[in-house]
Amino acid sequence: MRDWLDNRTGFRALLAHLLDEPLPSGVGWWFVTGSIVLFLLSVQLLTGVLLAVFYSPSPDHAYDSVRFIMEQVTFGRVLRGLHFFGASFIVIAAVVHMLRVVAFGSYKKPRELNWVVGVLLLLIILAFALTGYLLPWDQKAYWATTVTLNIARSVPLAGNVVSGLLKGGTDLGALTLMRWYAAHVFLLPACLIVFTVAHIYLMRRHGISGPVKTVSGPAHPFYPYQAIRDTIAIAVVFGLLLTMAVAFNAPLDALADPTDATYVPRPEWYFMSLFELLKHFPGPLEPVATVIIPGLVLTLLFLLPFLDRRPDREPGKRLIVVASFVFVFAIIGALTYQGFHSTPPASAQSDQAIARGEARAAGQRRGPVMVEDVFKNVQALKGITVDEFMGTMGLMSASLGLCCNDCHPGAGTDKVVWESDENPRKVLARQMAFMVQAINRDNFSGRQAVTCWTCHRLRLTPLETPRLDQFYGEAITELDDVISKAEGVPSATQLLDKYLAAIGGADKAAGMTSIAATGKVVAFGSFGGGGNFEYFAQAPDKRAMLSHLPDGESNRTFDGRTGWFAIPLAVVPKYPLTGGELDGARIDAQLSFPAQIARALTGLRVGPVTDIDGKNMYLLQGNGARGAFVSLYFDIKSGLLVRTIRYTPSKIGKVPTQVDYEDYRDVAGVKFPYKWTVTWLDGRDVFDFADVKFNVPIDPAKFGEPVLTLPPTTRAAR
Amino acid sequence: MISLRRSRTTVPTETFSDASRRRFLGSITSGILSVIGGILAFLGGGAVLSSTVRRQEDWLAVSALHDLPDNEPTPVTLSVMRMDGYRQALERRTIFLVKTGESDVAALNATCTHLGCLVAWDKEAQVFKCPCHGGIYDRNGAVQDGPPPEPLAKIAARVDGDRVLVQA
Repeated sequence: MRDWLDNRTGFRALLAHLLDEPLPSGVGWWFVTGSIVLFLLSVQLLTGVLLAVFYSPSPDHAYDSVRFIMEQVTFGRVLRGLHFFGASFIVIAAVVHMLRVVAFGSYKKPRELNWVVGVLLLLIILAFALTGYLLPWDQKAYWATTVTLNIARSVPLAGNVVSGLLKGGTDLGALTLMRWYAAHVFLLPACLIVFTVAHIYLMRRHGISGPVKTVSGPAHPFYPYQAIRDTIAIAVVFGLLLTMAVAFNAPLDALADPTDATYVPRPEWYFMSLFELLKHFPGPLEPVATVIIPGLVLTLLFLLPFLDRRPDREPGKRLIVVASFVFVFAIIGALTYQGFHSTPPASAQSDQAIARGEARAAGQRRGPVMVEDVFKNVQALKGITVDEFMGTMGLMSASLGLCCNDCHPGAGTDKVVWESDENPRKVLARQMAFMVQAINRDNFSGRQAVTCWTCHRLRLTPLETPRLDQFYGEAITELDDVISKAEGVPSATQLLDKYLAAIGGADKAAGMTSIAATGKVVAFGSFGGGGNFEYFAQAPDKRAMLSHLPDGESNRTFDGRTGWFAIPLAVVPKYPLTGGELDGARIDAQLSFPAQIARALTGLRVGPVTDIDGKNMYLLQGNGARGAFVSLYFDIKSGLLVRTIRYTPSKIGKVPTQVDYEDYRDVAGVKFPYKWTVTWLDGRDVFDFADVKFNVPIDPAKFGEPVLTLPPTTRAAR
Repeated sequence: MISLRRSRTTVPTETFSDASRRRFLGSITSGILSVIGGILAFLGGGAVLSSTVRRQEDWLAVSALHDLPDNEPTPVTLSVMRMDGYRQALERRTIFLVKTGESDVAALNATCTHLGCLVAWDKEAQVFKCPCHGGIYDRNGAVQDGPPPEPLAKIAARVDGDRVLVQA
C-alpha cells in the first residue's frame, strides 16, 4: 500500500526532503523556539476552527454563543482556554524566537529577508490577538476595542480613515464585529499561512544558521536528532498550556455595556506597555505614543539586518544591537509593570458595575434595554434597565400626585423633549433623587428606608407640622409594606385551604393547567379607550395578557423565562422585562393558578385583619425572588381572593402593582373572577371577562416576544 | 524538481553509527507527537461529535378528544419552545392524531422516513402519501409501498379527560 502511494505521490522523497535536513554540528536546544511557535500556531488554528463551529459573530449572539461554548459545549471550556492562553503563549514564544535569532545573529546575510518575514509574522500574531479580543463581545472586548479605535484615530492625517476602516460604521457595533471576525478567521490566517510557508522556505533555502561559533563534527539530519529536542520542548509547552486551560477559565466579562462609565478597560498584558505609554503623552502629543515611537521601533526592527551588516555573529561584537534590544525590552517591561500597577484591578472596580454585569450575565442574555439606550441626559438613575427606570418615574409621579408633563415639557404630545432640563422642577427632582439615595446610603446601610412617598404623600411640598386634629382624631391605620405574622388569625395553610374550597375544591383547582379567556378591556393612562383582550395562562409559569386597543396591541407576556411589555405610543413602546419586573411577571404567571400559591411564594405569613370597602379581609403575604413580595387579600366571609398587590424593588423604592378581583362565576366547576381591575403606577385597566375556558391547548408563541403593532393612522404617518 | 537549497552538504549515511538509536529516537518523537495529537483530537472530537441539544420532552395538550373523528388521521401543528444552542427557538412540527378507540389516540410523526418530506393523508385512498418519492403508509403508519425504509415514527400520546396530550 505504501509503495503504491509512494509510486503515485512520491511522499517518501518529500518526507526525506523535509526530515533529513542536515543540521550543522552544535545545533542544540536553542534552536527549538521556531518549532514551538509553529506548533502553537497549529493549536490556535485547530482550536479556532472548533470555536468557530459554535461562535456567532453578531452583537446579539456573540456573548451568548461564547457562554454557550464555556458552559454547554463538551470540552468547550478547555478549547477556549487553549485558544485564549495559547495567544499569550504564542506572543511569548515568538518574542523568545526573535530574541534567539538576535542573540545568535541569525538575521545576517543571507537571511535578511527571512528576518523581515519573521517580523511580519510577529505583527500578524499581534493582529490576531487584537482582532480576537473583540469577538466575545464582553465588557473587556468592547472597551479595549474602543481604546484601540481611538488610538487609530489619533494617527496623523489618516486617523479618521483608519479608524473608520476598522470600525465599519459610525459606532462600534455589528459592522465592527463582523469585519474583525472576518479578519480574524479569514484574512489573517491566510496571511499567516503564506508568510509561515515563506519563512520555512527561506529557512530551508539557506539552512539554519547554527551556533555562533562553528562546532567541529559531522552534520546530523533533523530527524530524529533535532526533532526529538523540538518534540520534547513542544510537549513541555503543550503540557503547560493544557494545564492552564484546564485549571483556569478563560475570562469572560459581563456583556458589553456601552453605557457603563465605571468600567476600566485593561488590555491584554502584551499590549499593556502601549496602553501605558499613552499616559505619558497626553493631548496633542498622543501620536508620539501611538504612531511615532511604535513606528520607529518597528522600522528599526525591519531594518536590523540592513543596518548591522558586519559578518560578526558573537553578541560581544554587536554591542549596539544587543544594548538596543536590552534597552527596548527594559522599557517595555517597565511600562508593562507600571501599567499593571497603575490600572485598578477588575476586583476594585465599582460594585455596582460588577453587580450589574453579573445580573446581565445571569439572566438577560437577550440584551436588556438600558435607560441610556432610550433617554438622553439621565443622571440620577443611570445604569438601570428601562423597565426599572419607568417604574421609578411612576413612583415619583404617584408619590407627588403629578403627571409626566408636570416635569417634562410637551409630555403627552409628539413635541416632548425628555432630556430637557428647562423645567426647574425636573432639576429639583433629580437633586431629590440624589438626596434620597444619599440618606439611605449614609443612614440605613443602603436600605430604602426613605423614599419619595415617605414625605410627599401626594403633595408637591411635604407637610412640616403635625396636624393636631388628626393627632387627636380617629386613628388612621396603615399597614407596613412587609407585615409580621399576627395573632388570632388562621394559618397560611388554613387560609389557602379555605380559598381553594371556596372556588370549588383543591382537586378542581389542581386540575387547572391552562386558561384561555377573552373579554372587553377599558384602559386608562396615557393611551386610552376600550377594546378586546385575550388572556392566556399555562401552568406552571406562562402568562399573556393581550389587549387589542384602538391605539394598537398592548401586550404583557412571560414565557417562563423571558417577559415582554409592549404598549404602542407609550414612552418606550416595547422592552424586555428585567430584574424586579421580570420577577413580578413570573409571580403573576404562577399565581394565575390558585393551587400554585403555596408553592410560588415563600415565607407565607398572615397579618392582622384589614378591610377593603368595608369588608373584613385576611391578609396573606409571601416572598418571591430577589426582594419581591406579594400581599393577597381574602374575604373573611366568602374566602375568595379579592386583591393582590405585588411589590418589586426599584432604585428609589418598591413598585406596587395591584389587581382587584370581582364577579366570581363558575367555570367547569371552578369559581373564576370575571372582573379584574389592574392598577399600577402609570395607569389602570379594567378587564371584563366574557368567555373563560380551562385546560385548552395554547400556542406557546402567545407567551413569547410580542410583535409591536401600530394603529393604521400611525403606520401611515411613518 | 526545484532545489530548495543553493548548496547542500549531504548527510553521509556512514555517520549514523547506530541505526537503532535513530529508530528509538524516532519512535519517541512519533509517540510524543501522537499523544499530543490524540489529546487535541479527543478534545475537538468531543466538542463536535457530542450533542449539545438537551431535549426536554413535555406532555403537550394538542387537541380536544371530541374534536377528533374516529379513525381519521387529523393533522396538528405543534409549536414547541426549544433551546437551539445558545438561543431559544420556536420549533414547529406536524403530527397526525388518529382516534383509535373511545379514549385511545395514536400520534404519528408526519415526516416521511425516506428523505424527510412531510406526508399528507389521502382521504379517498385512505393512506398517507409522501409527495416527494411516492412513499405510501397506511393509517397506522406502516409502509405500504415506495422507498420508505421504516414506518412513520410513533409519538407517545395519552388522553386525559377530553384532552389529548402528546410527548414532544
